[in-house]
Amino acid sequence: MTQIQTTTVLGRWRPIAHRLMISGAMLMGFAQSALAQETTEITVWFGRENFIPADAFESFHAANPDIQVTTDVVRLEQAVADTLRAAQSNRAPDIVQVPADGLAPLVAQGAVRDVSSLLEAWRAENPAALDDISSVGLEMASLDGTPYGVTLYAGPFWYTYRKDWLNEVSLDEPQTWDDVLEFARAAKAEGYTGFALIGSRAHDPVWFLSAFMSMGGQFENGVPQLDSEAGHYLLGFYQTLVREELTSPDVLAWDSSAMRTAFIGGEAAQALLGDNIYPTLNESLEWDAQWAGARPPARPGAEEAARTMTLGWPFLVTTDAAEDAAILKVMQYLAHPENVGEVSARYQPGTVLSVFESEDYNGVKPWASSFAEAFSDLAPLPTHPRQTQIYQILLDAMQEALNTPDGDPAAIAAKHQAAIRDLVGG
Amino acid sequence: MNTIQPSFRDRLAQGLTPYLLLFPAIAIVAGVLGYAVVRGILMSFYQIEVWEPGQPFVGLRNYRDLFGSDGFRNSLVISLIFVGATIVIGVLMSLVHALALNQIRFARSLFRAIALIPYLVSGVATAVMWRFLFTGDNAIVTQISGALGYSTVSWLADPTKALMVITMANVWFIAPFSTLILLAGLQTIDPELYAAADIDGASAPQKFVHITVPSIVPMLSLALMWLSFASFNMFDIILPLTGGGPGRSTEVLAVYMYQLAFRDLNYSTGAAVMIVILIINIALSAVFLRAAGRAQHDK
Repeated sequence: MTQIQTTTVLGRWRPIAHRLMISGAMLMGFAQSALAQETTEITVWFGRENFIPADAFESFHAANPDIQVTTDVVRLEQAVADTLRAAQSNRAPDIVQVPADGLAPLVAQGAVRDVSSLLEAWRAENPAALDDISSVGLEMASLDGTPYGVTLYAGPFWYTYRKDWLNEVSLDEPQTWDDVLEFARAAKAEGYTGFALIGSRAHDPVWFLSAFMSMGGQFENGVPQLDSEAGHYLLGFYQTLVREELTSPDVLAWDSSAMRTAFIGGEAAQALLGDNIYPTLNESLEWDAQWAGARPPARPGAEEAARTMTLGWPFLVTTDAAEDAAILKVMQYLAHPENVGEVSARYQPGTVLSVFESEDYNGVKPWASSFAEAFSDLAPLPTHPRQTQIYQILLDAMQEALNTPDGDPAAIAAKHQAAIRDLVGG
Repeated sequence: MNTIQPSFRDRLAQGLTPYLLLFPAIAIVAGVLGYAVVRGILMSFYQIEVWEPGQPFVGLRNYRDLFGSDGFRNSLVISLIFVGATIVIGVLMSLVHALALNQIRFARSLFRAIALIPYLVSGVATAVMWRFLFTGDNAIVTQISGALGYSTVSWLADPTKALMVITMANVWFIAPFSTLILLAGLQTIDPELYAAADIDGASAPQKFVHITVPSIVPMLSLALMWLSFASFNMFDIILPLTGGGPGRSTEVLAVYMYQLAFRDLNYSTGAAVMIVILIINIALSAVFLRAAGRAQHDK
């Protein structure tokens, strides 16, 4: 009897227990689903590990528990191709960092989206933070007036020279490229390399274009006008360096590392160096005593047309990225002066202007204040969808000038301008 | 006296076994290489460029544009010079090394291992090593050149010399494997052939021409195939060593293809170059195999 009763009691409780278990499971399922719905996952591809803030989104996650950011490093050189491939298989990141000249192909393929509304929301929420980003920061992430992201790091090449040697030969800081040649001749007479130059095909011709823009070189729809007074002067300048042996005889094999080593190692008097190289340079030579830097000089007679070119590495928002609200928070985190300052202090300079006023930053980079004005007036390198092919033709022109120092620079410029015209169909 | 005849099933199993064993390897090659080749062939008939939306079918236009382009024609000529020089120098060096390695008795295994070292080094490391030899103030070659009263300008800054440098680096890198192939061939030669030739009073060159070379013809053709394949596809030494320059003097087809596909992001024209390289490789292999077959037949 007892056994029967027990069974009956158990039998009575069993359906209740089942219901409770099912209800519990359903509740957990709902809870998980609700949690999953509330958590937004965002993937950011950085172009270099160095661009990731030291905080690595820790404070961001603490402040925004509903947004989970995953970072990856896809090298700048591969970022455009990898983003396009990833977009084709619906695996593109939400935010990708590319070289500024990679924007045009991404726009052409519809891989990035217009962030005008995101920027409007940013302005409505915190206009001071948005205004703290220099105009070039927004310009380099835009194409034909449409913004696709924000550029937080920009790298100009500064004209860098041996101040001590310049003083020894009683010359003033060069203001024009003719002055540069004069100092190079004086340095050569002392047994040094007058001007360290990259002449190989190891890199895109961005140093060449930096000099071109400082000489007043112009672009039409993103196409450099090499067959111009500035272009002829630039090619002639390169030829003079070789003809008068003011640069290394190995210049056609010199890459950026050879150029930097020559200057940092105390063999060369002048070079165009990126801001990110200065901390290393300062370990070997003393700032303001042995070396100094300035905007690249101008072409004599074209001082008004001189511009200081900068490269940039914008963070772009991809077409199928998460909704603007979450993306905005990530962008604001990346643009926070503390994060930009930390990255700028150890790597590339930022476009967030307040960083230049920070004591910490100036402590690490004592030359920073000298360049603050120049930083607020940088000109982004114009971009064209066929940029990489144009670069190859520019390298051809540059190497022809270096290889034929007695050739006619106008003829070299005309020949390669025609090749560029054929390429772009102009 | 009764012999047991294998059943049909046994014979079938015996006949199929080699194919079954080969199947995984063939499937992997077909899956990995075959897919890439077929996809490459298809891509070369479309216009797939990163700056142009859509992928229209263009037939043979990519090939027509390619053969009409100065850059491609220059790369083709550079490639032919580079591969031709590598084959001639590479096969001679490999043969000399293989003969030497076949003759030595002392520490034979050690020397064979040493001979293979260059092949075990990565292409990029090889390029860096050769760059150190030829550029910079402390470059050994520049210093020797200077000490002998010649120009101290880096060879990599001179278009003709740069082509010589990449050829030498390529030979250094790929010849050890062909040495190994030829050494395997030399070890299969019956020593009695040489003994008989000695009795007949044959000289060393005569023995080399009439015994050694004919005996290793199949291996020689394999070595030639390897040298031509590896050279036509060579990329990882050249790009870090010269980047294709100065000018475009070292821009071989593989570097040109990389430039098109991965720098210009012009995938379809890059695929067309890949197909051209493939066809050249197949044609050269057919020539070497045919020549080897004819030599064997004559023998």
